[in-house]
Amino acid sequence: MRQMQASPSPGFSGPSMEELPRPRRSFPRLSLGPTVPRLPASVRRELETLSALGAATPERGAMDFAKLADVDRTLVQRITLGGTRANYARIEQIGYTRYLEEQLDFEKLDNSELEDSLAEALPTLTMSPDALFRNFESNPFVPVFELWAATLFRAIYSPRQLFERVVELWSDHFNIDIFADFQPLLKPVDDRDVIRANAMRRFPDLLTASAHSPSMLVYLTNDSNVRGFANENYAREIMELHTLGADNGYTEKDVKELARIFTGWTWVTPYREAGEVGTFAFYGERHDRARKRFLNRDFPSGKGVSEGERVLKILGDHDNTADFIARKILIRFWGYEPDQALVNRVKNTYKRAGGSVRAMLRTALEKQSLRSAMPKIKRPFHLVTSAMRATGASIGDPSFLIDSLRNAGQLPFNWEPPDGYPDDEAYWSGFILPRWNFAANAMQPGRSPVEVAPALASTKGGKSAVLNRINRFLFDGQMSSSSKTELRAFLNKGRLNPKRVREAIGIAISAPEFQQY
Amino acid sequence: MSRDEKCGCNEYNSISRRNFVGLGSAAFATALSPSWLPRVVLASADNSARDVIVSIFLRGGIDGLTACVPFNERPYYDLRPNIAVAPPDSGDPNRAIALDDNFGLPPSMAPLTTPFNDKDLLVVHATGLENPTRSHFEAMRFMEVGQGNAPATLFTGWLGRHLAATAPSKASAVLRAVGMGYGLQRHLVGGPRALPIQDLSTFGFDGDFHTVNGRQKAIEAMYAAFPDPLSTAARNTTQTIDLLASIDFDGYRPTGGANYPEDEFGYAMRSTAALIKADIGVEAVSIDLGGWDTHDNQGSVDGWMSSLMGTFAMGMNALHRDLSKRKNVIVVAMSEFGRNAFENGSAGTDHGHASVMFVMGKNVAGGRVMTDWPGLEPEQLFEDQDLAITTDYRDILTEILTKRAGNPDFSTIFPEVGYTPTEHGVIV
Repeated sequence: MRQMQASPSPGFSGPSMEELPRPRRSFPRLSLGPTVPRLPASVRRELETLSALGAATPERGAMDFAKLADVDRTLVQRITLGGTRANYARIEQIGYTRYLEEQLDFEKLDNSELEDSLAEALPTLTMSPDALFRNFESNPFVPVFELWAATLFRAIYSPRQLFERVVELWSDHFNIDIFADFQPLLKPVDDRDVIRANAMRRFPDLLTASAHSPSMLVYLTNDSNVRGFANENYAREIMELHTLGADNGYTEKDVKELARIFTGWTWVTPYREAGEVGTFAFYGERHDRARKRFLNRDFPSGKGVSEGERVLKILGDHDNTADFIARKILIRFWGYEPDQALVNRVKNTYKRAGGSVRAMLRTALEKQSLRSAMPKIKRPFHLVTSAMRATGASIGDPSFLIDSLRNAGQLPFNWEPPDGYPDDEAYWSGFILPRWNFAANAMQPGRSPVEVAPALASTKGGKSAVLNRINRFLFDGQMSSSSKTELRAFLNKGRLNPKRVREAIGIAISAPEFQQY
Repeated sequence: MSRDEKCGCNEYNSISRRNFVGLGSAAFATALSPSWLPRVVLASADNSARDVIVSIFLRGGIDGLTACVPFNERPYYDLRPNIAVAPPDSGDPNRAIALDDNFGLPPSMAPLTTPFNDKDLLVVHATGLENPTRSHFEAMRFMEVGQGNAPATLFTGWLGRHLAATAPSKASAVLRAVGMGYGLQRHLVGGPRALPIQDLSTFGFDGDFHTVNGRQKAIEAMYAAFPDPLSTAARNTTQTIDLLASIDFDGYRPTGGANYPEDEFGYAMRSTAALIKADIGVEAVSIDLGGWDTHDNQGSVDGWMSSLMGTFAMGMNALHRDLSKRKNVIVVAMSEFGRNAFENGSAGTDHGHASVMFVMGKNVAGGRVMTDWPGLEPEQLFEDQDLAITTDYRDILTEILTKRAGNPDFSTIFPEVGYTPTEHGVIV
């Protein structure tokens, strides 16, 4: 079977593949053991430099106290992984529309310093699939950890905040569990070459890239979908989860026909000689050459890989796909229950603009509709990144953040079923203790790798000044009166010193309004 | 080391290591011992008329034809040349264990024979969700909100609605239901005082010990007037912290020779037993066991599915032993659907229809396989490919809720127009 062989590797304390959770199959949640292993010291030093760089960002050009229209603040919160003082100052300076356009036009936002540092510190980010297999088949935890670290650092420090939010959306939509078979070596490539490369392009481009992604084909077992022995897993999920929506315009017969169409779509395994390991492959001898009929269209016999390409075009152009994707974008960026009129507007944009993600976001985030948006609950990843961003934090070791995400139930790329981490208030609002504990641990004096911006950590000016700064940094001046009262009471309980300030910041991160965006 | 004097139980072998937490809680004050250290108040076996419901969701779609083998069905062996489990009378070392003349357990489920022979385990076959969807997520949503065929319009879950419709079994209960996991299982949504908890033993406030009370108090107060669902979740959380801090889950010692599997499922089952024995008014526990989506290399007797079934059976066996003195617990295990009657090309099975349910408890009419068997001949298959459903999953749940959980009115739990439960004799 398809278990990777693991052997202990010196110099890195991560678990071997054998110790990692069970591979493949849809559902079991996994346990990583009590702590996530630490990065080697050399890598840590790189990241510390990087963190210092990021920590400076929120200060740059920050106005003292942005006084914003509510809808401007909502926009910042919807299109970032946590608003900073710099973000609020920026939108105040250039206005709603230009701020949105600036984020949509993400290529012009310079992230080279961040990406250069990441590339240097985390070499697996830029490796070819073949190199990943050659170097890490016996120690696959390294690329996993590096991808986690990069994901967190990009979300926290990248100036391309909307881009990172969109990446998060597609990572859920085209979910792949990084601990399933071969995924520690395949998912990092999917993240780079499928999700990030296409995140802001046309949805059909993303779909096509995903359908050729070894990571996806292995995750949804299309690698065992061969002539005469169809496996319908991928065929079903590409319609149900990636394009049309569940039971929405296709029949069981279509699932079976599509499975036959996708026979032979697979990848170059490490055990096969021809081709570059870890890349897409179509093997004609595994392909079912007989004629098929899919979504009321005839597929004449023997068209090989082009049959599947034709399907991707059909699905990408399908009305139900436009509806499904429009709704998904709105749920992520607007709110949990978009009405059909709003969905139709974004759907029309999909159809008019060939599924352009950028164009759909522009429609979904129109000022008028965002005025009526209700608060959403931050998922744990968002809570962690927003806390780090708001406090201008530098992070000595991302292991702490990874640990916190695991405890709160949202370790990146670790949702086992193919539907992705939920974006659902009922699901996330119950388990709030790990959020409070993340905040408490992050701010525990002397025992946390998180350093907050000196301006925020300061005791200068006494308790009222401390309270004001917390309000400005974390809430853009919008902290509720009840939270202010409680925080003041806590500050009044003892001597004002740096420890107490940090603990007060931890309480502020735990506040109910900080759980929302 | 402290032992509860009142019942002489030695199930908790030490005081909670987090006993400093939450000393100010009024909800807990009554349980404080004179030495101010919280300790567990263990009732003796509580045999009240209402059962604690342990709901296990086997996520991914369990292959019912492997989990309970119809070994007298010729087509079973024809349709599954590579993955069928051999009949009990064969010489195959991996043959099925007969439960009756027609059905048997696969070898890795042998631990289930103990509760079965004690007449505490009922296997329901050819059961499930009437709606023909083969989507995991649709089927799970239907079953968890308690619908059968009409478009799934309900939002709350069947178990959540049951809890909302019945008075707490202990009026002062802080925690009525626990969903083991990071998020609340959909079938518990809507239940008052229901919380998702990933690990009962570590459910406490972190950070500096000296300031923990002050910090907890500030956070509690911040949430008090905030809109729901966060406000209720916070209140339940802080009260539950105090409550669970009084129970030493790490020191818990199972009884009756129970031997829980050393994995996440075993841990959840063990924690469930501890929670039930602590007798703090918990009425429902939900546990997920995933991994049943066996599209390839299923391994009915010597692979993936076999070991997963082993986990399930060992966990059930251990819970049965551990709670052998308690008459007021009922366990029900179900899955969103079964799998195709025939194997696919990768020695696995694709999404199907009917499957099995397991019901376990002292009040269960167990020791039998209950089924109105639809057969596996081609014309008997659902949509030409699956075992047909002859028992609506809601029938089983209705009997549990009305006869063992003090809920006389099934219509609030399964309100779908046109559904009337059929009684099958699940309960003694």
